[in-house]
Amino acid sequence: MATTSPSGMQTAVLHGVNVAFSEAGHGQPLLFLHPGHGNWGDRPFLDALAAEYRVIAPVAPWFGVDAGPPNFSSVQDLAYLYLDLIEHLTLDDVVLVGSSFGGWLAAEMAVKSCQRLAALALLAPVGIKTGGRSVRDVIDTFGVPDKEWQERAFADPSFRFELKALDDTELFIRVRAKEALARYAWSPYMHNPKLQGRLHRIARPTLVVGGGRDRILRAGYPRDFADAIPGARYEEIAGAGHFPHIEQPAQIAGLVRSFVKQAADGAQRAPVRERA
Amino acid sequence: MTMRVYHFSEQPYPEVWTQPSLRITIPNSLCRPEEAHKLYHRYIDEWKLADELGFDIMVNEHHSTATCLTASANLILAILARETKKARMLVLGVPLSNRTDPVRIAEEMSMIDVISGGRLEMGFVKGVPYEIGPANSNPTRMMERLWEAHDLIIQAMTTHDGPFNFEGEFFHHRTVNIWPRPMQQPHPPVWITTASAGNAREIGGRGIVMGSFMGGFGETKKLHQAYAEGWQKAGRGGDVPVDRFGYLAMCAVADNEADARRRADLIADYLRTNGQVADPFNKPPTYFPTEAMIRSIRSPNPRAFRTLLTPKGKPVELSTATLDEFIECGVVFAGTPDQVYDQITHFTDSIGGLGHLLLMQQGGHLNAEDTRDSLTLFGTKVLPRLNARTDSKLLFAA
Repeated sequence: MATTSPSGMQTAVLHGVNVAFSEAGHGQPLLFLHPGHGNWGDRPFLDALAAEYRVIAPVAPWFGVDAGPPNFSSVQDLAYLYLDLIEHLTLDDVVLVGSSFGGWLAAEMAVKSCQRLAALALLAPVGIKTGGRSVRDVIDTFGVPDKEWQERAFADPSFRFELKALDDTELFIRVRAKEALARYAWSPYMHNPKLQGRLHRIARPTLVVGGGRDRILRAGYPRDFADAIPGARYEEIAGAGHFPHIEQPAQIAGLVRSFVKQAADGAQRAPVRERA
Repeated sequence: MTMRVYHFSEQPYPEVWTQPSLRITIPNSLCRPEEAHKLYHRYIDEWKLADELGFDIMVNEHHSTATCLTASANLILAILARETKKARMLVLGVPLSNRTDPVRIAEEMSMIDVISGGRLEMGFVKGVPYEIGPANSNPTRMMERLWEAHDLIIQAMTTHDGPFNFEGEFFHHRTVNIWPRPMQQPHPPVWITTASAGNAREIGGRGIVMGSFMGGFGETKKLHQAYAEGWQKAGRGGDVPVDRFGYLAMCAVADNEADARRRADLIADYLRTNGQVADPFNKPPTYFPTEAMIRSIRSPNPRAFRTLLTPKGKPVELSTATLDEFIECGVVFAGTPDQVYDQITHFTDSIGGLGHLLLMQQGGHLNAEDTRDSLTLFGTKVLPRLNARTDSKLLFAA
């Protein structure tokens, strides 16, 4: 059962692990997986989606204020946890959307089971390694000062901010998110060497979105990701940085909506691949 | 039992210390191998001199840095095992949390112990924050990895009917059977360093020697008290023998105070350069508690290293302290042989006794001539007096 806190966050207990999530809207379920900095900046995007979908947005264990399970140390732990969450909430025909680190998680879930999924949207995802071994596909998040990281992440300077300007709770969550990211993605850095060889198992319509001004990812990396998923569609948002859903929330929500609709129409006409 | 006194140098490469970052990002085009060659041989000769003068010796290691040419403490120890005759040889330490193969460490340590005739003091450390980058080791769960690696090393050294199996959370071996086994039985003394009371209690519970660095009067005594709590809770008895405690400070001696102060000031650059690390390698995630990271982000001086209180309660930031402030805190001992004797005995008596005094007697730009003179004065005029003391505390009264 899920319990609701005064902040509007609910908590589900899955085999002894607490998962906090927000929920808004009605309709087809949509699961949104936040990026590596936590759920900062997601709200306008989630609100735009909530006009059409039942939007469920978990906060991954260790990313919030509370300590998570001590033995959680890999994206696999999170991928299985979120598959459990989908079953726990008895969601079907789920639209799975993930940004950056959350895109990696979404792909890890889909290669394990697409049974309850309808479509995927991966927004500037990480998780595979396509450049040479001395090429950085993803900037070293742990090795650049926060100011440089923000300059690379956000194309629009108005989205950048001084860490010092955050209030204590926001700053705490920001610091905790980096700690959590280290726990899950330190090495191999921001990828699972096995994932690329499993992406053929994603048997659902998949949209990959890249930001034309993303300087966190190597130019060309999001397209490589799309090319590695059979039948995936690639869209590049010219003015976007690494987080199109934060900088262009309405546009990206619209893109997801129309993609899901087209995919549903297409599936009714002629399924490209057999649905699991 | 008298207090043991160690000579320590990080084997610095000071000619490029004007660079903004001395660690991680400083390119090795700035390292002249010919100069490094000369420095290694010079520093080894200084350790040899220390051995002849009756000191014990201490080495450590750091990576990707001009502050320390010892990229492998065990390599230098292996040389010193042959080059020195009497000194106890302390490595403080091997960065266990950053190493992937504890069995290899057990093998190297056993070799060194055997070659040296059983003189190894086996120190393990978590490693300072800016070691995470060069090792690419995960900064989360470091202490858990350290203890598991420690347990595997001890098991490897003390199992004589091997091979044995080890399948822990972090390390996996199906056939552990090291050759040679160490000369000291059951194994060389184990040291672990810390600056936190929580870790001190854990170390005390295990009865391992605890090293602490530059904490001055107040911090050092607090750590020793925390150690004693763990010691007692584990049922090891009431008071703690002071040979369970090592303390690292800086030291320079000369036949006049002015020269001693000049020498000590050069060595103290070791602490002043501590903050010269490219951000954010000095604060990897989870290395410090979340609350401390937030304080650091809000701090007007984010490169602050460590703030101590003098016995009179005055705060002193170690990255910017003056020589007098260092001396006041008990972080530097400097002066004529008589002055240094008085400073050291005052310090060790104030903290309740000390078994191992680890002295950085070479650091920064301090040249060979000054280093050798300082070592010789300490060795001939301070060390005999410390060894002759009959009123030192042998037990730390918890």
